[in-house]
Formats: sequence, C-alpha cells, structure tokens
Amino acid sequence: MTEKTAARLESLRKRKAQLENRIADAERQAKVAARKLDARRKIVVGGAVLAAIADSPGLAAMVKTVLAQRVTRALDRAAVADLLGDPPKPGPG
Amino acid sequence: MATFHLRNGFISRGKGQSVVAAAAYQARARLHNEQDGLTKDYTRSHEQELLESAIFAPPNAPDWVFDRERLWNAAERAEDAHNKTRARSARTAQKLEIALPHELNPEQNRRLLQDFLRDNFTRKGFVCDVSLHGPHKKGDQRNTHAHILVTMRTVNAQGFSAEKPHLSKAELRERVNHWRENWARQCSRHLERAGFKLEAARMIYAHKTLEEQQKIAEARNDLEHAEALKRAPTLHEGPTATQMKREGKGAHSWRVDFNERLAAKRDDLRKMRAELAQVRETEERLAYAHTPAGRQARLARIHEWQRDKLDMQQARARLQQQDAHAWARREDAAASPVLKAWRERDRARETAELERQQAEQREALLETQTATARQQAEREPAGEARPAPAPSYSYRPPKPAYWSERIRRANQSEAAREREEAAARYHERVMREQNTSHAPQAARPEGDIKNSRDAAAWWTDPKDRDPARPEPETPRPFSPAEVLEKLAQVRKAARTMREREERQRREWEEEREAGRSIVDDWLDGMMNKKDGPR
Repeated sequence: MTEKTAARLESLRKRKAQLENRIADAERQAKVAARKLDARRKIVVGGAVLAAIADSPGLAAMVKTVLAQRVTRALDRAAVADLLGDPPKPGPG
Repeated sequence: MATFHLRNGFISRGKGQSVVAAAAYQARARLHNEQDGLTKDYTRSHEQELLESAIFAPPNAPDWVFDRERLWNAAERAEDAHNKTRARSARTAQKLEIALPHELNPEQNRRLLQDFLRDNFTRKGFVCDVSLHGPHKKGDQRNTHAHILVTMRTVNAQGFSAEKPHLSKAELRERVNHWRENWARQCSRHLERAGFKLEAARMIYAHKTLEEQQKIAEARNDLEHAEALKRAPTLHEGPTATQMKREGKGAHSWRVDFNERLAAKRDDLRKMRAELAQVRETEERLAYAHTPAGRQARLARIHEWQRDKLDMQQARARLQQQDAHAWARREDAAASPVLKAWRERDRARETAELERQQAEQREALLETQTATARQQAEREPAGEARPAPAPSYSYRPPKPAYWSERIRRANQSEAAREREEAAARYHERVMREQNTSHAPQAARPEGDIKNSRDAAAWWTDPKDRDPARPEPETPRPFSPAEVLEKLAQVRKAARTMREREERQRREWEEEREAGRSIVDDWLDGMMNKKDGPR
C-alpha cells in the first residue's frame, strides 16, 4: 500500500465516521421530535377525553375499564386514582 | 430595575445537538465541526447584534482554548476519548443564558461577567465562551443578554481532564441556585459601583421568588418596589414563542397565551383590589360615623354645607342686585343729575339693607347651628379619641374669613367674650376721643404690648394705666431756635397743602362737564351726605 493510498483510505475513513455521526445526530433529532410530538398527542387526547368524561357517564365507564387494565405502575395508578375509583391510600407519615 | 434572568441548560449529543454549531451561532462565527464534517456559518445573521464575544480560561490552560473552533472540537473529541460508556449521547457543554443589567454600559457589563465567571467557573478550571447579544430590532431595547457555553470538563495544561464531574439533580439545582444568588450579588455590587444605589439594593435579592422578594422589600421599607412585586410570575416566553408573537401567531404559543391571560387577570385583580380598598374605607368611615365623634364630625360637615349654601345664595342675591342696579343706572343716564343722585342714594340704601339682612341671616344660621352642636355635645359626651379620617385630596374651595371669625366667637367662653367686648368698647372710646377714623383693630390682650413705643401704649387711658409701668415722659419745651425751625416747617407744609388744593381745584375745573356749575357739585355733595339733603 502506497502512502497515497493510505492517506486516501484515512480520509475516507474519516469521512465515513463523520457521515455516521451525522446520521446518528439526525436520528436523534428525529427521535427527540417524535417524542415531543408523541407527548403532545397524549396531552391533547387526554385533555379531550377528560373534558368529555364530565358529560358522558358511558365514556367515564369505558375510561375506567381501560385504565384499570392498562395502568399498572403504582405511581401512575395513584395519579389517576379518582378516575379508577380506587380508595385513597394513607399517605407516608 | 434590571431584569433578573439566569437559566441553565446543556448541549447534548443525545438530542442530536452540536456544541460547535451552538458556539458558531452565539459568536456569529463560521466554525467547522470535525465530528460530522459540517461547517456552520452565522457571520451574516444579525437579528440581534453581537456586542462582544470572548473566551475566559483558567491561567494554566493551553493557548488553543482561545481559538473557538479548536476549543469546542476538542471538547467533542474529549467525550469520544474519555467517555467510555455513553460517548454518543454525552453532554458536551453547559449553556447559560443571562440577562445583563441595562443600566450598565457594555464595558461595565463585561467586567461584571468577568467577575461572575471567574468566581464560578474559571477559578474551578472550566473554560467559558461568552457572547454578548444586543436587543432584537423589534423587541425591548433593554434586552441585552449573554450566552455562555461552559465546558463539562476542567482544563489543565495537557487539555481536558479525563474525569467529568457528575452532579445529581438535587446537586445541580443547588449549584444553579448558588449561581443565581452569586449573579444577583455581583450585579448589585457592580450597579452600586456604577452609581445605581436603589437598583443595587433591589437587585441583591432579585434571584428569589416574587413573594420572598416582596417580603424582603417590605422589611426594607421599600414599599414602592413591594407594590410592584405584588403579581403572579409570568412564564419566560423564550426565543421561539417571541418569534411566533412577532409573526402574529401569538395564540399558537401556550406560553404567550398564558401570559396574556395572566395579564388580563392581573388587571382584574388590580381593579378588585381597588374596589376592596374602597369597601374597606367605606366600612371604616361608617364605623367612625357611628361613634359620638363621628356624629359630631358629621354635624360639623352638615353645618359647613349649610353655610356654604347660604354663602352661595347670598352671593347670588348680591350679584342680582348689582345687576339690577347697573341696568337702572343705564336707564338713569338721561335723567337730571338731581334725580340721578336721588336714585343712586336709594340704591345705596338697598345695598346696605341687603347687607344687613344677609348679616342677620348668617347670624341666625350660626345661632341655630351653635345651639344644635351644643345640644348634641350635651347629649353625647365625646367618645374615646380616634385619629381623624385620611384627608381627601379632592378640591375644596377656601371658606370666607368671616365664618371662621364667627365660629371662633360662637365657641369662645363667656368670660373670654366679655373680655374681648370690653376691649373693643374701650378701643372704640379711644378712637372717638382721638377723633380718628381708623378701622377698629383686634383687641390686644394686656400682656401683649412689649414695646413701649408701640402705638397701643399711647392709647392707654391714664385711668387704666398700670402703676408698675413708668409714665411717658412729658416733652420738654422747645428752644427759640427750635420754635423758629418748627414754624418754618409748618409754613412750608401749609404752602404745600395750598398748592396741592389749588392744583386739585384746577383739575376739577378741567374735568367738569360743559353745562355743569359749581352749584351742581354742591348739590351732589349735599346728596352724598349721610343725612340726606337739608
């Protein structure tokens, strides 16, 4: 391998690393944007449903069923305890 | 006062951010990033003017840290070299956003920043890249602010250290609070040095919450500032929302929306507070009105109002009479002088009559009022002392002087009135004896005469003379020379008076209308006599 070839290889490798970095950055930016959009959608949907619950008892029952099935973490259940109809737990202390 | 704003954040590879790009933006520079081979060029974007940009480093740092491109590329490389676990999602720099006090000029601000950065970062081995940005063209012109990028790793002569200080969330919060406090203190110090004493005193606690600030301001008796701090905190809108607002899309940003609603609410709140204050004041006034003192004050107010009303009526009557007289005079223009004088006398009588009637009316009103006030005072002895209600700043016209005089006379004791009346009688007698026509002066109490050369001393009746007081000296007789001198003076005065009379007579002659004789003048004189023509 001549010196020229080595230098060329080196520059190509550098170029490859830069492109990889660029791809990784773009992916991360896309991921951040997607997460932001996702959170936003959740807030919008949740807000709409919470607002609609007050008017329709049928929807309230449905939401209760869905929450009872899907919300499993204790902290999350505590946050929506009034929608689940769980008895309030005694607080720490 | 300068706005306090200090916010921290991070440049994170995990979010796809690049510290070289951030540095290029804030320094308005053209920088090449070796990591991804991209070159960012912000040299031509001038929405916010770059006032200054500089790099501060610890004394043992190598020279290349002062080259922005090399510094931040090195910071990126250091993550790759030393961060074994999460090099690709590492934080590459810490960023700070600080509002600079608009009172200070750029040079003073630079020194302030230098102090702050030296205390908090440079001394601890971190490198700071600082850019001072001016206000946006369409924004608040006081919005001079600094963007600061701080390296995550300390720097020594060999370059970035291998260890990266790690802070838990609580530690970070504590650190940021320390910076905020330190920034407030440094700002205060520099403001004071620049001569802004008041701002400096207020800035020193500006990093606290509005409520805490308000309490401190009240404790320092800075009530104006405390009042200004009585508000709910607004959200920092940030560059994105501000940009949306500038483009007329304010409602799309919930932060802007929130702030607008908050402002509306604040206006409501201010109105409600004002109403509440009014209600409270009314309550207090009512409570006061039901005490004896309050009732007395109310009676006094009513009396004052009655007197005002009477004044107004009387003034109107006088004006009407003057008006009528003026018209009558106009009609009399063609009448003979005798008739004119006759009617004029009638009018003068009418005026005098009106004056007398009005004086009687005032006297009567005052008597009624005094009687009412006495009755009330007897019925209700005054209650406990209470501070007078707050003064009202609405305009009240000044009262005529005779009311205060009459009220004083109505309220004085019997003895005092007798004393005063005796003095007045005595005074009148002296006046009569001296055959003067001076207006009677207010009687002086006995002890008031201090200077024996005072005119009052000469008026004292010999019978009333205080035996302790020495007799006034009898004047010595004049010498012949003095007599001659006096005589000359008297002759001179007589001559002057004669001349003056002559001159006046000539003036009268000239003034006299054609066809008018001395007899007319004599008749006029007779008419103007008090007892009427003989």
